[in-house]
Amino acid sequence: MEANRRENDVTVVRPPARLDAGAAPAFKAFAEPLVGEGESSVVVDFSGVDFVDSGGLGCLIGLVRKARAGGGDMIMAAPSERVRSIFRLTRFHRVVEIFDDVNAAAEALGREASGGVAL
Amino acid sequence: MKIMELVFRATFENARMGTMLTAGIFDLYYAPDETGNTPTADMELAVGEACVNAVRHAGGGQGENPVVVRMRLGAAAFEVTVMDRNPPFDFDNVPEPDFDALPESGYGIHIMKETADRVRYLRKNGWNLVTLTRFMGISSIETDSRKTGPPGTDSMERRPAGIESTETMPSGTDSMRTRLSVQIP
Repeated sequence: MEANRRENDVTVVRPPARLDAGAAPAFKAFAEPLVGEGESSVVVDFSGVDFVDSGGLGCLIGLVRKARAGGGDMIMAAPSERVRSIFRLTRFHRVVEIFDDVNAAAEALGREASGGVAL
Repeated sequence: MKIMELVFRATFENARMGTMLTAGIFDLYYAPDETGNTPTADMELAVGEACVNAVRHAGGGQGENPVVVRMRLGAAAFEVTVMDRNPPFDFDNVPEPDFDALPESGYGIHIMKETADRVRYLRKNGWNLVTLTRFMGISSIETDSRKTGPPGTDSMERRPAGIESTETMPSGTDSMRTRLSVQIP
């Protein structure tokens, strides 16, 4: 897990390769301070993630809620087809923006500033 | 027919190991299709959800209760049964998640039903048995009619439901079957 701050105060977070029920608590503890910083703008970079289960998804939902509650947003970038499929199965793709790559996601989030729809 | 069994204590770490081992066995046993995917690829997700459910209801991942993952690998179908000794539950009437409310939990059974061709629950001799079946030659994204089993003469369709067929099998004496049991410490 790691996080980098980019231009426009966009933070890019990289989850572990396997974001499952066992890994979710540690990722949540790692990412929560980043999405709780006021109008936070966070991109989750899935380019290194090959598996997400319902535990990982629940963690992501909690983080998106927290970001939006603070006036910010958290969006998804570069998920594999396998990860996209669980987003579709659980309708997660309807409530978050998903971009093909991190740069596009960061640019969009930077432009939106404090954008995002409260859940 | 090969039968393999994994036994582990109910922790999330072991659930992950059990799920990954199961997926690895799928990959060894079933050839990939022209796109490079094995017919079992999305079953890893279903098996993982069943294992995590078993661990979660055993006391949040701290319990000593055993979880057993039993695989029956055949040419026409493969079946995975995840067994635990947790209290029984009304598997078939667990409601679908309220997707509009975007809850943080409650997706596990929904995911199992969406990714396996058939999901069955039995309570037997103090064990919960969740059996996930993939029928070979049926895409996981075909219509929901597959949930009731495929048409035709698939041998899996003719036998009794769920784990019963596995439990009545002879152990080690049938030359047509290979049995392997692994205990994760």
